[in-house]
Amino acid sequence: MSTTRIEPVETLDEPTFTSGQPLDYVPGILLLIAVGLLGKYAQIWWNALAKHEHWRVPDIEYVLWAIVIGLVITNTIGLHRIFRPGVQTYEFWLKAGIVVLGARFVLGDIAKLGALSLLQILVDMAVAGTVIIVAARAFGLSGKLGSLLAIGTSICGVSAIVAAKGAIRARNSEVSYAIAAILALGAVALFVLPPLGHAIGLTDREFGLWAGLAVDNTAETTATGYLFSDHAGKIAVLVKSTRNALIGFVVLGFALYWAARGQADEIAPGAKAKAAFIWQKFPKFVLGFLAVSAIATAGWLTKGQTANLANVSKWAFLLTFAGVGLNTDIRQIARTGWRPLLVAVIGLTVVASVSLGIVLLTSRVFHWGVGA
Amino acid sequence: MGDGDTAQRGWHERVGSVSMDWWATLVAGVITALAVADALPKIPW
Repeated sequence: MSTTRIEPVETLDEPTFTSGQPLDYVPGILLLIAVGLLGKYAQIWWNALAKHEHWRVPDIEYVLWAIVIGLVITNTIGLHRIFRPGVQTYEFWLKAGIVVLGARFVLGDIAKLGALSLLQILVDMAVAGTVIIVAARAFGLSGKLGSLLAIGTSICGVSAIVAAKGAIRARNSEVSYAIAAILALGAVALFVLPPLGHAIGLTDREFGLWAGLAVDNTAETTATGYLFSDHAGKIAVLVKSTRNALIGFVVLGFALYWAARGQADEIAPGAKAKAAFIWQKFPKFVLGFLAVSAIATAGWLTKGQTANLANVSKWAFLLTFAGVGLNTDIRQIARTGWRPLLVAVIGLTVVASVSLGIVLLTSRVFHWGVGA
Repeated sequence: MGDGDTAQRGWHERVGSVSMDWWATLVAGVITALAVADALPKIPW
């Protein structure tokens, strides 16, 4: 049994760019821009057509148009490999958009909402994680696949699974299964949660909290929130960032569990090594988000520049939504097999129900943070 | 392999060793700095 030391090579656990040649990214980024713009204008054209023809149809948001157009391209004509490096930068745009979005929050609100959502996240994680591990065992999945699904569903989707991969020494097939299941669930949540939220009569704030707690992958969380409303999108991003910040602690917990069973590398002893492990897994863009928010709180931004930054963040998210659609290959998800998917569906249902219960309990019964 | 190739590969490796999180923070930081200096042009939506 070996002991894990924090080596520079471990930074490979974090998402990185797939090519060393800047020009390789150009076609894919242009495709993201084209799909994003098409999505934005599709909303305008759709509304104009409906008005002209006197149709009574729902307003379909640019978020949904961009995702659906991307989905159609990938699942019909397919995505040529020349576009792949650029299309996979959608996580970069997401993170840059989140950092810039910090300008729309003052630190006091982040502390209030962060503390409230932290409590909700901890309850949600404990319940959902337990249910998924039990369901995975009942359906005969390996313990490590169960752990990966629990980490992915309760914390942070794909990033958390990738972060846990090395730490719990999971097999590549287990990682692929878990990632495909989480992505499939993200797509389901994206289409199901916003209409459900409207049907239940949730406020923007309640829906933002719910999306931030229930949807696994940050890109899908952002899209789900913005599909409901701009304000819900902002809240969803903040709650999800709080969830993301916990990656290191959860992965450390699972790593210690599997190491105690001799099935993963041991973490070097001592608080310093554990702190280094948590820092290594910590999503660094959250620090950028807080720094930009501190700048806004200090009053260093004019009203016009704050609006400008909000628009930069919307453009960055538009590229992310196009990337979500372009990266969702339904055939690949179908190849995963029904058992991991079923466990993940149980996970989503449990997480969505538990988190909705927590949101309604805290906002409508306890009236916590209603004014925040 | 020439010195130019080695230098270019070294640069690519250095750039590649910076995680996507830090790149996103850096790019967003530059945009925010421009906004603080009131030098960010009007971004329409």
